[in-house]
Amino acid sequence: MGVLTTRQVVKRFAGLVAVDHVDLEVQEGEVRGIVGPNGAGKTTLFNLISGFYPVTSGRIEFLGKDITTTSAHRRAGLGIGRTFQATQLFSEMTVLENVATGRHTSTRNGAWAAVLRSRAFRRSLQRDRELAEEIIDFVGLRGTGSLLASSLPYGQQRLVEIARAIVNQPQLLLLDEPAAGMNLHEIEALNELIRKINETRINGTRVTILVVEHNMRVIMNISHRISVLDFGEKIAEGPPKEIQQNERVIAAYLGSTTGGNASLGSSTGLAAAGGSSGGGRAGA
Amino acid sequence: MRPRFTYGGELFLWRWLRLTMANRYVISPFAIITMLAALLLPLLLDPFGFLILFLDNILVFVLLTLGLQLILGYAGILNLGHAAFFGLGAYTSAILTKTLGVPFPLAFLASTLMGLLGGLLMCPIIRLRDVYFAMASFAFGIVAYVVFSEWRELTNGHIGIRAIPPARLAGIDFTSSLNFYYLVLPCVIVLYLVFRLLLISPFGTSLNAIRQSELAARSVGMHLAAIKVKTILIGAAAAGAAGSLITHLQGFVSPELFNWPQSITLVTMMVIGGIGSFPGAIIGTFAIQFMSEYLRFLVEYKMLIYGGVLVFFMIFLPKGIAGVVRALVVAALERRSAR
Repeated sequence: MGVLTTRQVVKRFAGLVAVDHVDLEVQEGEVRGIVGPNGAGKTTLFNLISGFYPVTSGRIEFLGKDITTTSAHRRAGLGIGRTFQATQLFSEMTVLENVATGRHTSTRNGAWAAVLRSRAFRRSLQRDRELAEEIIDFVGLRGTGSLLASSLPYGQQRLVEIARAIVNQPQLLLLDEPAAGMNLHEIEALNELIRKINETRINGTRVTILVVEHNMRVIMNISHRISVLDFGEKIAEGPPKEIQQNERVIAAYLGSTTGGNASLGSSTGLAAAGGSSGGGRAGA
Repeated sequence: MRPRFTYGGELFLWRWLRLTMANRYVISPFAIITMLAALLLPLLLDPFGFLILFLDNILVFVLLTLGLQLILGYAGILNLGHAAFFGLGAYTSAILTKTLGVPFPLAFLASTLMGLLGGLLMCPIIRLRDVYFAMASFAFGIVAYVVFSEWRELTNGHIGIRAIPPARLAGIDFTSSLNFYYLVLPCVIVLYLVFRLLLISPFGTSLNAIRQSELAARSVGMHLAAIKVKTILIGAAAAGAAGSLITHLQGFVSPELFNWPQSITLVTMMVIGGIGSFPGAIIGTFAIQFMSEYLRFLVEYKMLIYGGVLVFFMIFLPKGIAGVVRALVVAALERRSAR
């Protein structure tokens, strides 16, 4: 079954078309890479899927249900978790508290419950902490729970964000450039973590993951399929091997119109062409 | 900062300080001691003297600043129209008890509800961001003031409503400052306890969360508008209750007390006491009220002085007096644990 389907989704910002009639069909348990030069509309697409921006036109379905007009906080409750390109942590909270906020939609959080502090309420708080501890171990941050989130090195902060996004067991996880700012060692661990998350079964179904990433070492490694965006349009889609050979993709990354002769067989080659986070589009 | 220090055979004081700083108490021993001291304080004062009346007045304002602290310090909403809710509560109580002869407890509840309604009126502007919300709430306060001063049939305009009957509850008359003290103090204590429980709950967590990162808060499923609305409603209801109390304390109401300078004064109290701290809100209220009382001869320059104090604190002590105390305590604890 398709976990996520977008049909002819368009996002227009005052004349600029950021996402242009994009169709996606992501299957359960799939890791889908989203790549494209800077400004191709990848993050905007994420914001549409997670409900942070309303679509201009088109339709988004999650687990067969139309969520086009569902608000962001409800989508989180339905099981869509996400991280951000620029890390968004609660900087005055500890790692544990940060991760525990991920349980928000599953906790009794009314003002009355807080004042009355029933036993069920206190038990649910305790459960949140336990789950948060477990997930902190799972992402490889054991022992950091009581530290201020902002005191961790950058690469670890990214893991805290992932932990917060998965603590509530989402069926769809959106990772926006998870490897940005990580060193090679951390990237290896990240690849492993994404695979582990993907293999986790929640109510018998595997976690579906969408990854926007400039680092080709990551994207070619973990993705089952890759969708390529350029100027808001989807220009190619397929398994990593195919994408590496695709002429339109190579042309988009090199900014050439003839494109065909420049073959990028190896993943590192495409990474070099795409750049890790800098200018993706070489001057044409 | 959440410092952790080693255990050992230490004095209660140090242990209390340490656990308080680590936010381990629901109600800290210092809060309990302060409450007990406040309950016993009138025994030391002249029951007919000025000071106790002055304290009554300050405690009413503490109800206002605690509510505003929740809105401004925790949810991070710069509300420059808080005095409007205060006024709504005050006029509701005045009109109900004076013209309609409604007993005080009912009028008090009605005032709280009116404060809540005022909060609902503010809700349409909640989606505005930062400074835009501040401007809109400022205008909201001015509109409320115009209603208080111009709807003469109801409010008697600038002359105000006089000879309002004193508060009576269960046969006790709260005319004397001493009795009134024991009416307003329980209100303050209950509000403080309720806010404290709110803060350590997921609701409090979501307040902290939306202040620190709205994007992240949305991504974990927090409904920003709903949380902000709830916060404003709670603060506004507290302000409505404070309005009812000030009416019966003074025996009269006039619109000046609820004009925009009052809202700005309340924000000044927050900044001086410490934004994001309930004890800070209380400290700031006392500081400003004492200042305005003992600098009475400078009354024309009052707003100018507040402005100067505000700028001084924003630049040199952005965390207010509570922040300074906190930093000193943390430093002392660290020195001790280093030894």
